[in-house]
Amino acid sequence: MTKSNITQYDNTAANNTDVEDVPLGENLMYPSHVNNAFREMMADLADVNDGTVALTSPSATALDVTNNITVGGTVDGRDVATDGTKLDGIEASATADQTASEIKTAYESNSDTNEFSDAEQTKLAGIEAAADVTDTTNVTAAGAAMLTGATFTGSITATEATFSGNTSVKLPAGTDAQRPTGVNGMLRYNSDDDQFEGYADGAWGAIAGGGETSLLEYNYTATAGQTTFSGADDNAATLAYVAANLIVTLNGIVLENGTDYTAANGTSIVLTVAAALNDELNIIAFSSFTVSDTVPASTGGTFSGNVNVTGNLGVGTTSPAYQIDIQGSSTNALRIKTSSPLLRLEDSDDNAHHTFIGSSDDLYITSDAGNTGNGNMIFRNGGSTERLRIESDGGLKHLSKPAYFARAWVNFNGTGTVSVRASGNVSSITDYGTGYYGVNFSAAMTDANYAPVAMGKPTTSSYGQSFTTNTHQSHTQTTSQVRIVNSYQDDNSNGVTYRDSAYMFLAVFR
Amino acid sequence: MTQRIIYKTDEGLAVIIPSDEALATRTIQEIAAKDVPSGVAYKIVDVADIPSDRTFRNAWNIADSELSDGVGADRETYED
Repeated sequence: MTKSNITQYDNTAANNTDVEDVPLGENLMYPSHVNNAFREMMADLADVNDGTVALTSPSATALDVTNNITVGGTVDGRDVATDGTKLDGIEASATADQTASEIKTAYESNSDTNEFSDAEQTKLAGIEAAADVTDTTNVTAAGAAMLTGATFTGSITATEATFSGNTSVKLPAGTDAQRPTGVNGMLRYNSDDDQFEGYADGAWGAIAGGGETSLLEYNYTATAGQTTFSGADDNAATLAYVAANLIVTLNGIVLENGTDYTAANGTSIVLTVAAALNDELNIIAFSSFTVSDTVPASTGGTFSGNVNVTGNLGVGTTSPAYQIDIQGSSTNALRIKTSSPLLRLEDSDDNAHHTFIGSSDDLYITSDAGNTGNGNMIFRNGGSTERLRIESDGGLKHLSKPAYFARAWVNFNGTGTVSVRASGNVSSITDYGTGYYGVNFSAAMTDANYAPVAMGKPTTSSYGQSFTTNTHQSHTQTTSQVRIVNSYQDDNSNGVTYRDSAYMFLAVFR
Repeated sequence: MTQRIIYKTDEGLAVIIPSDEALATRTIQEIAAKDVPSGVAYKIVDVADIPSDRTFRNAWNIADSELSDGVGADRETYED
């Protein structure tokens, strides 16, 4: 076999008998042929070198390559270029596989994974095993309401509501003070007034009078000659009425109470002229009305706000002639029971006012309590005749028949241990010497122009002796004191001397 | 009226006898302040200290040093 290239070389030397048909047999070679054979071998190796002939199954322990390695096929069956591109996609710091947490987070970040998050798992864990929407307790605890028999604790807002039952709808009930801020259309039950009320046009107003109807209508079809109508009417309603609150018609004609019929006992109507057969007797019986926020005239009540009466107010009279006119036979017709002052009288022409003040057992009557002027207190009778006046300075005058009163007085013993027996507006007596005394006023006189009147009882009574009691000759009376002396003169013309008196009297007028 | 107020005048010794009506609402000191002349010293004594024998009334006297209980103000009203 021709050995055309090195792939055809045999590993056993004896089998390589030629090189490119150059015989390598024993004794067939000549020195010139050997040279040619070797040249062919070199040419074959050159083919390997330039790739003309591919080397197969090379075996080496090491391979040093200075430049790039490019292969047209695979290396050990792998497409090295494709695998290299895939490796390039791995992050530079990748050192190990992703943790379970990283994988979980990445997974749950995707939508529609059909898996439950931790929050969802917790929520699911909170649902009891047998939870269902028919358990009223659970539904209520969840803040919802059952379709049947539920109780709403908060406000409910709905566009419309239809109640299809045949019992009742209960409205909120409360007092006047519990009224909400009014909004037109509100309905409620007023427990103070015992009636329904509604809010319309900016105000609360009664809707019905405490459950009573305003009027009742009775219809009777008369029998021949019937005069008395009572009991059940044509509609099985039993006649009941309040006398005088009636309209009675017979065949459409209004009848007159007392003339055409009698209605007194509240349960029957008696016609004056008997009805004919099949006459229609109709009775309209009005009930009493109650009006919201009013005080009943029959039972009275309390006005919580101010009350203004433009006319006269009569108590015990239907024809009051004065702004407040109290008439009757009871005692204590008017009681004023307040803290002080009890009564304030005010003149509309000026700012002066006068008061009556009670303090324990005392009554203080004060003119000009505001101290804006003189404040005289004047008593008059006989029309407008002034009889008595207490002036602003305390002076008391009885003008129509003048009378003036002592401003001070005293009765004292001027002998021995001098002492005051009794006095008025006198604080003390000053003993200046024998028969010489000063009287000191508790409250000073208005001025010194008062008139002291002094008297003394003589200590002896002999012919020719004289006693006189005067104010002191050299002392000028003051607003706080006047001095008096008790003088004595005998019949021997020995001159005047002062002498004590057991009874000395003084009165002071002003 | 168990006490008296004494002070000196140009004419001798003056003795003030308070009234019961005054003592009902005022102390004797207040009465002295009102009824003793202004600036004049006075003394408050028991009534027993005043002689009941007035034979020599105009000769009564007292040492100034004894008048040590106060000085009068000669007021028209009591001092509140």
